[in-house]
Amino acid sequence: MRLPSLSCLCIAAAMLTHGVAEAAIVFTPHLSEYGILPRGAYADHTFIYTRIDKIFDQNGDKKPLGDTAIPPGSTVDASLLLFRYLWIGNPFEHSSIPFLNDHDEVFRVIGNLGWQQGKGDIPDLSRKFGLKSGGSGLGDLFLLGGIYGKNHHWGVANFNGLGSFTAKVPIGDYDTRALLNTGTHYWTYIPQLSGHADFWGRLNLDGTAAYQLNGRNNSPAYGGLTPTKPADVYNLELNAAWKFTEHWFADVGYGWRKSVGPNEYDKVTLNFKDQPLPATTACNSGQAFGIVVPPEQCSLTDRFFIRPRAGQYRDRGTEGALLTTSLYYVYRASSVINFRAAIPVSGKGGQITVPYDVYTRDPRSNPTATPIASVNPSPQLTAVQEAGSVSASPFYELRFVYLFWAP
Amino acid sequence: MRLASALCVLAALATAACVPRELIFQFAGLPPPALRDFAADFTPPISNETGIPVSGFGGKDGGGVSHVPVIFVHGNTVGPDYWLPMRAAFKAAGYTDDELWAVGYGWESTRALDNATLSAVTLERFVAAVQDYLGKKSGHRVERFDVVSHSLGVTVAREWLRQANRTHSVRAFVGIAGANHGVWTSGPDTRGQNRVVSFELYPGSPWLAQLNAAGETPGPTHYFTLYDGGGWADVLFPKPTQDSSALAGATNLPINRERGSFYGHLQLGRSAEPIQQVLNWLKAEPLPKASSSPPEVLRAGAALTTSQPEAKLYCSSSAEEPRLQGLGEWRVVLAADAISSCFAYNVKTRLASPLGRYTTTAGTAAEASAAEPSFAAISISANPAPGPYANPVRVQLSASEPGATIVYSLTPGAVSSGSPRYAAPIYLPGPAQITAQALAADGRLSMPVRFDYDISIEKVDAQFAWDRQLNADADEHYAGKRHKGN
Repeated sequence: MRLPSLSCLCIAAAMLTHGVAEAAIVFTPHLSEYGILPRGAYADHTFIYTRIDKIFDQNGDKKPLGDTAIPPGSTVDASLLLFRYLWIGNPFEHSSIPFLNDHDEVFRVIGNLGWQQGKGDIPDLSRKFGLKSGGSGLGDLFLLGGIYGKNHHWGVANFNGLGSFTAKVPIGDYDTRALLNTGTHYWTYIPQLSGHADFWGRLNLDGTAAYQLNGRNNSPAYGGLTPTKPADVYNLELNAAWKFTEHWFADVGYGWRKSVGPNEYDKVTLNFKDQPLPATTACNSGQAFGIVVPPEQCSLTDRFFIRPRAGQYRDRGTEGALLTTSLYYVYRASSVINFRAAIPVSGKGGQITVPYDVYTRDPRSNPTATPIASVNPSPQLTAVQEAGSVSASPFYELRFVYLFWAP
Repeated sequence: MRLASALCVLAALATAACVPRELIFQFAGLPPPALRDFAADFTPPISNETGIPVSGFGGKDGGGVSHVPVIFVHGNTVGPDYWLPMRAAFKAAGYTDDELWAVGYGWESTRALDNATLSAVTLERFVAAVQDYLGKKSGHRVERFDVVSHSLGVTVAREWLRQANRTHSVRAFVGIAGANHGVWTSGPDTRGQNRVVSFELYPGSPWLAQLNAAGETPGPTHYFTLYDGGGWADVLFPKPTQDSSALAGATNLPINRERGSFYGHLQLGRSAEPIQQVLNWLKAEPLPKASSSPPEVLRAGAALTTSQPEAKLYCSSSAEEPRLQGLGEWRVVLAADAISSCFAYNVKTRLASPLGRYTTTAGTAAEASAAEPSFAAISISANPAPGPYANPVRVQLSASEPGATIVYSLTPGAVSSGSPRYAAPIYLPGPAQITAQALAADGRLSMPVRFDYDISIEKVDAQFAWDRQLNADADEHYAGKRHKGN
């Protein structure tokens, strides 16, 4: 029997905003992102905005947010402010430490603030689960250290490599009841290899390959629809920028990320706040939250309790690909204004099948209560937040970079 | 708690990484780390900007002097380390440590970079120290050097040649990717921390006009420039400014344009092919004779001759300084009522005299100032008056005697008749001491006069300090201690 079901819950789940931001924060290369820039301290402030009305499901199909549970048109709006500070130099320059003393290093700190809110029918839906549809505040802190390779010259090309390591420190605001959070609540470590090349002094190529090692999150959010063990993630990013003049650049980029295996969810608790459900609701497939109790049980009582079955659930992994395009204006050599649009071109979001047991007595106050039936939501629950959800809606960046001193 | 501690440590590290290093070391009472690879018995001079001994390299492993010693002058945002690949290439080509010297000037930081005029003083101190060191070591004075400069170092070194009247000391001048005619990243309003180059280097700036006014390749020096020329590879010199680095009268090599290469701004001084070009050019230059003396300009009535039979005179009576062009003359008859600027150059020893200015009547200014002076009663005044200023000033000099020519130097104590001739108000982008001397039409000289101008961004800070914003009558706490550059 197919139930229109709890999957609706997941809708909101569709929240990927922070996922978008995370990817942009660490990986999305910009013009000369991995080139050996002049030594100095750079401030880079980025405003990111997205309005998500579509997400990718586990089959790679685009679905409206809250598909089947709420009417199309609801959105998740998110704005993020990234504060990136970059220092390039060589503190070992005058030491006798080999290799370090003749290769420049880069250190980067990224902080962020976010405002995220579910709109349309999403807040009402979340309230039915006793949950929240917004999440704002301080984001996680990213710390990066890297070392540049030597610059090489070959014909019309100049190129260099960069090896780096990023740690994401989970200091961001995190509410286990929230559909949207600015913090992720788990550590991430990212070894990364990158390269930069310029050809004819006009074509700049930047690319990176990274492996994102994710730690555990023992306090999942939104009823356990964020993974307790987020899968590790591969990232590949490429960017090609063309210099029109010293002041104007444009680029196109491609980013791809894929989880290594599935995300794991072992604390799914998503459930209706107000229980028991009247039989008129629980047995009626036309109801908005139609937990459809099988007909043979519907005659047993006029109220039902439901509860997700404890267990370890896995999605099929996540995947996402983005195309980006940007325009840059360079003012003198110390300031850059950059507008970028990123368009998801393909993806796969996390979804899990969680059986819900149906009781006639409240299982929370009656531990010995036995379920009279078990129903599987279909479509499945959709994972939420950074590790589990993949947006199919574009996002936009407005970025200002300022070199405020050089050593 | 552990997380909080870790975060505090990380935040402290991140903050420390973003703080300019000279502030950290200053706070710790330590000199900023820098390359100091000098001979043990060489005493580096005090930097005019930082007040501590200059960084750099030279003389460490000795080796004696058989080539013309090279002075390397680095560019913006880098230090003497920039020249390590070129030093290695020169050593591979047979140069010794005694012949390869690099000086670090300024703070090696654009955040606190001083203007080229200020740095020219440091360069003069360094060259004098190297000259003294090599002279003592070899037993004879090293009269000529080669200068290899890059980027900002090109204009710093050219300013030094002019202010210190040092063209006779430089056999060959190599300018790599210098902003001789300006650079687009600079602007007249980019003073203080919001700049990435010396702000006086914008195209058409009065400072550059001053630098180039008396000719771009003056004196007995051979000039060679090497730069991109294609307008793409060196981001600092895009079209139509791709030839900004070229100098009129020099051998100019736009290497990327002519050879189809794409060396960037920093690579032009560090990559094998451009380095080889520099070496080839220096090797092709004739060597001066060691242990020879430079010629002198002599007066014979209303004419000039030289102290050596092989030496010839190169003179100019226009606003342009004379340069090593043509065959020179054995004897020059001075024009009436005009000042002739001359130097003597010996084609056999390849040595030259300093530039001097001569009139038809009395002795040369150079002679007069070198001998027991009996100064004429000519006074020089400056407008605006010396003192602290927040912004660059244009200083107008005037002599009490009509028709007198004023020469001046921004290198303390270096004024001579061959110093730059005052023709238009002097543009001072940063703190400087003007030492001026008037040369009357009849050859009489005035006493040198010094005017101190302290042009500093700290003056701006002091003017707009919080307490003064709240109370306009509050004292302006300007101590005249400069930290941030101009």
